[in-house]
Parts: sequence; structure tokens; C-alpha cells
Amino acid sequence: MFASLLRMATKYGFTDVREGLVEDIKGAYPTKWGDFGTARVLGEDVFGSPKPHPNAVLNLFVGQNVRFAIPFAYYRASIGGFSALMSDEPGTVLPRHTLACAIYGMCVTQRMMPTTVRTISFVLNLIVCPDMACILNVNVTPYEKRTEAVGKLSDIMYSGRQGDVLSAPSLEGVTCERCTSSLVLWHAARRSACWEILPTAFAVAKSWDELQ
Amino acid sequence: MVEGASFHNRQLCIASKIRSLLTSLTEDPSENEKITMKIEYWIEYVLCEQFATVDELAEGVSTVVWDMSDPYARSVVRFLKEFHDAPNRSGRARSFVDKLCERILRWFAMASVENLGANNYPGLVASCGGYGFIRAASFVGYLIEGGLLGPELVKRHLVKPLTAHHYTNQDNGPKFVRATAIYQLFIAAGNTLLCGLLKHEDVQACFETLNTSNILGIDAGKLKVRCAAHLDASSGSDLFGQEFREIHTAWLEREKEKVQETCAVENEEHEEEGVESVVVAEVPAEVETPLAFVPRDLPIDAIDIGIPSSILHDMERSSETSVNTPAIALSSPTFSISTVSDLTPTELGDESKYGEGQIATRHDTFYFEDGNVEIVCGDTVFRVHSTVVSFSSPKLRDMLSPMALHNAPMPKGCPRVVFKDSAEDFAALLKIIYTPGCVTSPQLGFDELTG
Repeated sequence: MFASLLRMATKYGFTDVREGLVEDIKGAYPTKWGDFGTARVLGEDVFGSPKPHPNAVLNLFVGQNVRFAIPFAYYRASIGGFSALMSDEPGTVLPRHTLACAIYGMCVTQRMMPTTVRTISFVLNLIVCPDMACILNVNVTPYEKRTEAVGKLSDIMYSGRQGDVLSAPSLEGVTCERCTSSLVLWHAARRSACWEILPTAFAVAKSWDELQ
Repeated sequence: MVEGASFHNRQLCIASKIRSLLTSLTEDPSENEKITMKIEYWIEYVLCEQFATVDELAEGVSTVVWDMSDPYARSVVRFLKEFHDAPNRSGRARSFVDKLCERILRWFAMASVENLGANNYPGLVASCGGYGFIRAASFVGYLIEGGLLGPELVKRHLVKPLTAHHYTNQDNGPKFVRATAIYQLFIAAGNTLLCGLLKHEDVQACFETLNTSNILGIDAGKLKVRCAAHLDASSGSDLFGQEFREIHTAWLEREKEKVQETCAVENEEHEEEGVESVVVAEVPAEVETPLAFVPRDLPIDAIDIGIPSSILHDMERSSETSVNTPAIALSSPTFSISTVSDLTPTELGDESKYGEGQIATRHDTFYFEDGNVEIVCGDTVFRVHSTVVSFSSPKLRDMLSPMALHNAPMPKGCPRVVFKDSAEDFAALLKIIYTPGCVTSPQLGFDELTG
């Protein structure tokens, strides 16, 4: 229903209808980092299936020029990696240009991942936590255990997230509260930086401001 | 470093992308500029981010040589040379080129001990058969001539391909493949190979494999003698290059004669049948033989490894499009949208297909007996009120105006037009037109799903 209406309203110039439809998806496709945490995933009645394939959503937004939503739609499509982007199921096949932008953007966003992995190890090794119970306390924890803890933290932050570099990792209970708080803040800054480059990375616009 | 199957798949995909970009290089420098930037970007990217080791990347990309035809091989080598020698190139990227070239040479050496018959495709020549070996020979020749393979490597690895003669077939197929490969190798790098890179005995042994009369149109005995004479002389390699050119030209002449004879026979047959004679195919008398590799001028300015220019260009273009005028600039996967002035009958579907007597199913809801226009979408027909449907849409108003409908067929007493939209899409539009309240979001019923 939603996709059909959007296509028809755009094609035949039903401006009010189109604006109403676009307004309704703004909550699901934020343009500000602060709104990312509350972003919804729209389902059945909007896209015609319980869990719409992100490629189908991307095709719809690109085809109907819903520009503000395109970077995030690209990002959601890129989370599944190459195999999802190159899906050949009906309705999910990305046109050549869209596919090129998606792959390029995916690599740009995900290249922050290995960079961050290297940095996190470096950062963690620098932390000298005064809390005697914290595994990052260099005076108490033996070197091997500390290295193990650093590896474990890196895993929590990046393993199994399948390219979703924007989601926050759960660090509760791994280190002391003070260290967890520092790491969460540091990691949020990295994710925020990643968010800011989405419009450029997927070749939609030069900044989010341009899409407001 | 991130591990796992998906990571490995990404490595393979990027290597495959680099490979396909390399094969898309052509002889035209203007066309190559964009491709070159993209290849540079991807290579630097995967290496800089330790996405793949130098060896892994070289392994993933090097199979390109077996699928490469000659002009592409030259372009790829030119690219590799310029990429390697660029002043701002990273050490890892230079190392990648070195590894790639070495790997190709070693593959070529390994393949040389296989049976190279055109009908048997074992091991390394599996994908392209003997022709893969021939292309590889040409490629290796350009690498040598371009200075991308060092003298030590060539001496160590090239002797085997030149002197091996592993044939299990008794026919001329494998010999033909080997002779052609060696011929291609010397065409590409004869100058360099004969300027001290190979020993006299090696070159002689190489031409032993050509000791088949008239294979390729090359007189092997003559070549052998000339080669020995050349190696003994101190006058440089021009003589040998000239010799190759003469032989090549002679061979082309013979091919030309064959073509002309074939055409003459065909013409006679046509004349006998009363058909006008055809023009004889032209074979160029002068064929440029690449005896030396001449690289393009290297770029002076540092190359910025950022977003490829084509994507930047597209981005700038798309940013110029106004958000407020979507209907003008978009394209949809299912239909194209143009300006209102373009609303000619081409915007509509094929009306003749749904003329009088054509079967189309009436839509359950939107077929009003008192409607004044029938709209066919796919195999569904809607009968609606043109004034109601077009009230908020200038575009539909134009399409359903009396003037536009003047020549439309009237199978049921009212004009019938065919739209290219799907019945489902058009029914959705009619639903909000005839029941306006349903357009608000609560009625649409957004279904929230987590994750």
C-alpha cells in the first residue's frame, strides 16, 4: 500500500499525498545522529512484507527520490554485506549505479571497523584503572589476562555485528563502571563520526544538512 | 583483524572487482582514466586497511592473465607499470605489483610443464586451455619489456617455459600452442630477452620446440640460425626484431591469400547461383608488432585516494536535483516519469492491445457503471470518473482530458486508455482518491518490527 501510493503519488503529482507519506517515514529514517537510537524498522503494511528486504526499500526510495531517507536505507542494505546487496530475488535487484554506490559506501563505513579495532586495543592498553576489581587494572591483572581481556572487549565491540557499525555494543559487566563509561563514550564518538559520513559514503549528498 | 566466512567472501569479492576492472582497461587513455582511479583506490584500500595481505591480493587478482586477450594485456601492464612507479605509491602497493608479476611468471613456468593441447585442459590452463598459456606468454612478455620482472626472476623462471616440451598428444595441437606462446613472448619482449637476459643455449633450446615445419608460418630452422647469429653479434637486437617482423608479415600475407582464395571460391559459387559478388575482406598489410613497451607519461601530481571521481560526479549531479520537484527528475524501476509536456500517447500503454473484444477483468471495487472512462492496468480494467480521479493531479487531468481521449477506443461506450502502472498500484491510488481518510498513517497501520 505504502510503496504503491508513493509511486503513484510521485508519478501523477499528488503532492499532498506524497508529503504525507514521506512525513510518516521520517521516524524510521532519521537524518540526525541523536535520532538514530529511536529509529524504527517499518514492516508489513508499509512495504508489503513482514520484513522487507532492505534492497527493496532502497530501490523504492531511490526510485521515488525520497532523498533524506536514502543514506540510511543504503546503510541498512549494506549491513548484510555483498551477498545481500547482490541479491537476485525479484524486487531486490539493485540497479548498476545503486549497487556501485552501495558497495563503495559499505567499504567506506566498514573500513572504520578494522581501524577502530586497532585503535581500541591501543586505547585499552593505555588504560590504567585504579579499581582493584577491574580486569584493566594493570597492577593486579597479569599481562596474559589483561591481553585476554582486551581481546574480549574488542570481540564484544565488533564480532558478530555483521557490518552494523552504528549499533552500540553492550559492555555492561565486563569492566568496572568507570572504564565501561569511558569506553562507551569513546565508542559513541566513533559511531557518530561514521554516521556523519553516510551521505558522502553512499554518494547521496555532501552532508546530512543538505538532506534536511 | 576480523575473521570469518563473510570477511573472506568480501576479500574474494574485492579481488574479483579489481580483476574485472583490470580486464575493462582498453587502449584508449581517456576511457582508462576513471577505471584506473578505481583500481588504484581498491588496491590501496584493501592493502592500507590490511583487508588482505599482499600475497592474498596477488593470488586473488593474478588469474586475470589466463582470461586476458592481447590488447587488454598490454593495457594492464601499462597500468601496473604506472601504478608501481607513481611517486606517492605506498610500499605495500608496490610490493603487491611485484608479487603479482612474480606469481604470474611462476604460474607461466608451472603451466609450461603441463600438456598444452587445445583439447586437454588440466591444471593451470584449465579455464582457457592452451590459449590461456598463449595469452599468459604475451602478458609475461609485456611485463619483461616493461621492466616489471627483474633479470634474476626471468633467468630463474623463464627457462623452463621456453625449454619444456611436455606433450602427451601426438598431434600438432600442443606444439602449435607452445610455438604460438613462444612467438608471442618474443614478439612482446624479444628485445629484452635477447639482450643478455637469457643464455644462448636457452634461446636455442627454445627454438627447438619450434622445429616443426611451417607451424604458425614460421620457418623454425631459419629463426634458429638467425638467433644464433644475433647472439654472436654485438649489434643489438634490432636484427632479430626485424626478423620477427618479416616473418610475421609473411605469415599475414599467406593468411591474406588464404582469405582471398576462400572468398574467390565463395564468389564463384554465388555467381553460379546468380548472386552479386561480395567484397573481398581486407587484411592489413602493415601490422604493428609491439617490440618494445613504451609506458605512458607518469602522473606528476599525487593521486588522491578518495572517492572515485565518477561517484563524486554522480553525487554532484544528484545534489543538483531539487527535492521539491521529484516527479521531474526521478526514474523508477517500473516506469519512467517525464515532464507534463511529454505526456503524449507514448506515456500510455499499447491501446491497440486492449481494443474492442479484448478480455480484461473488471476490478472488484473500482468499476463504476456510471464512470466515464475505462483505465486498463495489466489485465485489470477500472471504470472511474475522470473529473474525480484527475481533480488533484494536473498530470492525470491532461491524460484524461476530452482532447486526449478523443481518439481512444470505446468498447463499452466510454473511452478506454491503457496505463503502464500495475493494477495494484493504481488501485491503491484510487483508494485514497475515493476514500481520502485512508491516507493518514493510523489507517496505513505501520507495523513496527524490532531489529
